[in-house]
Amino acid sequence: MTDNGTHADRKWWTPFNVIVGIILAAGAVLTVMRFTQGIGAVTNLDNNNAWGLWIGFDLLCGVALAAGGYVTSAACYIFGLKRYHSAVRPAILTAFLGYALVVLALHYDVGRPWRLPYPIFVSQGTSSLLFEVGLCVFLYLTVLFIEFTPAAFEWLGLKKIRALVVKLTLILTIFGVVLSTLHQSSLGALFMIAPSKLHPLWYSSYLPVYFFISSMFAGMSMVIFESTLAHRYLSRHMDDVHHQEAPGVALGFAKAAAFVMAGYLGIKLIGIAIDDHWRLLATGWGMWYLVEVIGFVAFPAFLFAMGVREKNLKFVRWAAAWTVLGIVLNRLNISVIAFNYHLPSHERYVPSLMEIGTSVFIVTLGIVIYRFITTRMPVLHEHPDYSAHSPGQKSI
Amino acid sequence: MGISRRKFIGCLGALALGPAMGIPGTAQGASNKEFAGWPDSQSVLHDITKCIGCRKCESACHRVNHLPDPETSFEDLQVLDQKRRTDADVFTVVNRVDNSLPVFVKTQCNHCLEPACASACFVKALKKTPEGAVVYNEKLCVGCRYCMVACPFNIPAYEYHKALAPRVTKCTMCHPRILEGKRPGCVEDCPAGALISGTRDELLAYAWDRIRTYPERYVSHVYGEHEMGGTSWLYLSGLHFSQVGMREDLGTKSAPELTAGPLSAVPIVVGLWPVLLTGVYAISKRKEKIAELEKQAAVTEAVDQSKKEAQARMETLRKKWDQEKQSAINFEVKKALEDAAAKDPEPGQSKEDE
Amino acid sequence: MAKRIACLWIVAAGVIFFLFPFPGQTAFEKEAGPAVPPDRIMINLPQESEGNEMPPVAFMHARHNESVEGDCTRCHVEKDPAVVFKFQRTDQPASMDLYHDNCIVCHEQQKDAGQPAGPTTAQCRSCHGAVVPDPAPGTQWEKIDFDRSLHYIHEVSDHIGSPDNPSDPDNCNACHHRYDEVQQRIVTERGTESACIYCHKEVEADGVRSIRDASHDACVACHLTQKNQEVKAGPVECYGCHRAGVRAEMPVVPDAPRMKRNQPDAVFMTGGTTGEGQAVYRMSPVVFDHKQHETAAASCRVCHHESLESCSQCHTPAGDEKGGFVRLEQAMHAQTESASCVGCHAQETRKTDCAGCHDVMPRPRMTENACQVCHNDPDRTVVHDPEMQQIRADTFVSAASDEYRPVMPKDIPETVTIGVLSDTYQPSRFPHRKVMDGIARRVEDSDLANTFHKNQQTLCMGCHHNSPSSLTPPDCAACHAVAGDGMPTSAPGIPDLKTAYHGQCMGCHDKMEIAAVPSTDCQICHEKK
Repeated sequence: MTDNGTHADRKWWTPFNVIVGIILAAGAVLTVMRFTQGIGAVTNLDNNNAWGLWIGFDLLCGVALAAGGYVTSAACYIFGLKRYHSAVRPAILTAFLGYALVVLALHYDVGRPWRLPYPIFVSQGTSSLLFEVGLCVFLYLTVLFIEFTPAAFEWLGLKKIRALVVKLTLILTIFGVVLSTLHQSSLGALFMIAPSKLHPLWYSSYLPVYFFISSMFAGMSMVIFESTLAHRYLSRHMDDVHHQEAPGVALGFAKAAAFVMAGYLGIKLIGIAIDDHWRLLATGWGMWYLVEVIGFVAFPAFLFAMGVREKNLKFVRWAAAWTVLGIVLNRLNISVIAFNYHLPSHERYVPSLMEIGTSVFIVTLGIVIYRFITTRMPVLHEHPDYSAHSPGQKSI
Repeated sequence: MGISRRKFIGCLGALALGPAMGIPGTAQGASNKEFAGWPDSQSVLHDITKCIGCRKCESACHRVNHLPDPETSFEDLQVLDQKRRTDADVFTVVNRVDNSLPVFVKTQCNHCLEPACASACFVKALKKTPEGAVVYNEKLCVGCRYCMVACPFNIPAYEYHKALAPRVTKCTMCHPRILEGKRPGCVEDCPAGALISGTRDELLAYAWDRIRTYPERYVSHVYGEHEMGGTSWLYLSGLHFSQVGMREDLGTKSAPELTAGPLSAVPIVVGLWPVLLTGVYAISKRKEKIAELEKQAAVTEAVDQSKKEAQARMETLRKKWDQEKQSAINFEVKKALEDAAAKDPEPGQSKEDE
Repeated sequence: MAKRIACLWIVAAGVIFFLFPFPGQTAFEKEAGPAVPPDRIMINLPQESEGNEMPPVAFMHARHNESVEGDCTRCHVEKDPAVVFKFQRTDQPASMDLYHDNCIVCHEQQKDAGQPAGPTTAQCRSCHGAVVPDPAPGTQWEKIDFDRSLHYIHEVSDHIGSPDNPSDPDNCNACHHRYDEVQQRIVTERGTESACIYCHKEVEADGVRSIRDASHDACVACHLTQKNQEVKAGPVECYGCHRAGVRAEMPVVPDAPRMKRNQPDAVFMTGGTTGEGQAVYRMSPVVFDHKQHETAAASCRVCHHESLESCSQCHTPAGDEKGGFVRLEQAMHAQTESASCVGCHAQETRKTDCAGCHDVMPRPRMTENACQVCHNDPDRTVVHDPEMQQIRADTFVSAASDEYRPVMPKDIPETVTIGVLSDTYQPSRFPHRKVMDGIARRVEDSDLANTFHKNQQTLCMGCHHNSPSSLTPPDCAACHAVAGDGMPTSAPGIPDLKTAYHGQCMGCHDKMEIAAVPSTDCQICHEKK
């Protein structure tokens, strides 16, 4: 593969392509099944367990892990940390793709996907936290789309309109942070309506705060994690600036993530203290809770701190991957594992292979689109016309 | 729902409570309204001690709501051997709890006064009617199933096997019949007096009256009076409700109260965040500017310095040149003089050269 | 290599995510443990360890009894004339060392002898298990009720003789004794016999053994002695008396004769007068048929809960400290106390034979008629002389009539056809007289019911309620609306006609355990159309 887009010398039978091909084909089959036989045919959902992996993983984790967009753009444009500039575009792209895929996953999960605009345009159930989520996701997706357009316009050579969008950068960024704050937290607040179903160790009136705070380090870890992967597989699409800035970005975010995670642990502790759930920590569920909090928050936070101290990128990268895993664990705990904990085991939900397959399919789709875009548009490198080092250009 | 919950907080005090997310645990965050149910709304009282488990209510429900036929007839009481729950085409079930004597409990939508499902629905497809029923509008439903997640009683069911237009289904309290002045189908058909309909107030009074009259027969608790903010379906039981498979740990907070905190945080975030962020931006901008100015000053200074140095160097060079020039001139003069002297010899000298 | 390890990690994490058997998820599926046998004795010495370092020991008596082949002296000290049923001691308090030394030593001896043995030194937790309440929930242990029948069996036993004079048929003092304050010793005195529990309380107090120790030392020791003499005797094992339901397996003497303690046949009870020298009692006196109640009650203690003295000794009309300030009126009429007249009668009405009618009545109806049943002596003239009172009571009881006013069969409809509601079912033919006869028969079988239902017409009011007693009661539909499709009910308390019928019939069958007609089998009463 070459950069100029000629595919004459492309090898089709690479392992990546084969695996992706298989997954996409399976996804297509599952899609047909879902839309001809109903959700019941492909999921293990039932009347007691209305939400499963598609919400727990695709939606909750998807949104949390797409938080890199608002974190990075806020760091760069609002906090003026220019050294993160090269990380902004990939983060925005990831966020945009993340949200787009969340919406795609919702099309699978909800009964009548064509009515997804209803809450905004037809009948507004303003008492619902899901309304807040829906509205914010809708608006934020729009914001992300606009934020990403400059890359596309550069690729397409539409200079005037690009200049216009670039002028909106700050407004869009602030708007993005507001929207992210709202819906990241309201995703947690979704579960506040069911105190009788979510295990008390996870249920808390602080749930929205937990979700918001954890989305910050989820976003940072995701940026590090992604850039690790991108460096490994998409290195040739990166320019020197990107290469030079990457370690700085990783260490900077690692430092920030370590701090935020320590704070997160602190408020988790306060939450347990406020509800006085100490004794629950000694139960089986308490063990599981400690696995999540110590094994997947405290430990990676420590790893981040070590990595920053030693300037050891390897530590930082492992910690990022571990944190991402921890976020997935936390979101699944709240939505699936510790949810409906009171039901007898034979009534509990375990995702079906087809559900897992669909989720894998959607993630794969994201990777394919990411690759498609980054190999064509100026995401991992700057467009020569707009390079910060060429005179008279403000870059985005 | 006739409950406004999302009042903008025009109170700076609340704003000063700044942290992005609402004030945990306070219901007054979003509203100071108390909703005690619609006056004269219809209710049903289920006296568990009287239920004989005949499934007549189930068959009535099936008949009234034109539901698909079950696998076995409603006269088959063997189904009671298994614990059942409401399903997509079963709005009510009777379960048997084996105590010393079998106890039968009917389950259906409890029609909360402030329903969690309606509060959770983001398209208002579920509504609490003034007549008491919580009704569903399939013309609006998106099928997100958040109502099922929210329902503390695990009642709503979903047509999982419909591909394109699945509905959420549940008991309607026979709302159409109530509008006609009739009783719900199950109440109509109950042969044992285990279901009684009436307005909620009179049923509550009656229920407590029963408890006071037969203290040894009932536990002193009308289930649904306060659970989750109160329900329109009330229960009397001889055993503790937890013993007959009903949850007694639901608390008395209604669903809207539970989510009022986070909802009340929305205006705070929307109002405060842009201001704060713009402030941060301004600060970082200012920092940049100052840095820029300092840089410029440093540059000019550096330029001046180098200019001076260059001048000094030039000066020394010039001096050098001057000296060299001078010495060259001197040399030349000298040489010229010598030459001249050689061509025009002095008397006395030339004699010697030759 | 690093890649592979990374892959492994990811796979492992995936496995943890999806296959981890989530802890605690079955916390709500508690299984009922096996019932605890009645021979489990909790050894708990809180005074031994200040902080209660170790949980109490659950000692299995039967198992040890087997291993010593019934030789009690292996653990219990012999003290003339029998064995003391405390572990290795007579009356000194138990100590930890006592148990440790004896139990562990014995276990070790067993072990050395190659016998199956219990835990030995350093296996603390094998004995000191988890803390369980005593008796634990689910335990089979039950108190034994030494009722009139058992008392009689002992009374007439050939093997129990008076200690002073074995040939004396009057063997009360074999068991009964009292503590004489003056002589400061145990004495036996005919006529003072009382229930053991009056002095031997639940826990040892003032040097008086607890009921548990007293009864074990007395009963079990005696049974053992008898058994050693190869005589048929009562149980010696815990479960012999204390297994739940064991009383049903023991011999019962129906209609055991009265106990011989000079109790009156009739008691003259008054509520006192309003002041000194008044000529009339506050209200009509009660002539109480003591003899009749003796046969009805399981034991004296049912009414005489603290002593065998007359009620008014402690329960004075005004209330007294001696009677816990329970006034005489309360002692007789408390609706929820089994020792009070009204309370006990109310409990009787909950029995299956009466429940059909009485269960729908919330509580005993204190109607005029009901009062007069007990307050049966209309003559309120004060009688001061106790002897005269007794004579008055005895004559009243002997003169009491068994007059019973039955309803003529011609006045009782044979069948009643209930068809006003028939819709999906045929009308129901109700065997009215058969039901009436069934109720009347039950009433005749019970002295109590007889006393209160002298007029048989009162039986009609069981079904034909809320209206005066009459041979032509009003139609049910007079009060119960024929609620057709869409008609709301009149009020929550008044069911519609269909519910009323079903409630009446099924409720009665249910309460009286007439299982022949299951409520859910509709076609037993009405054919399907």
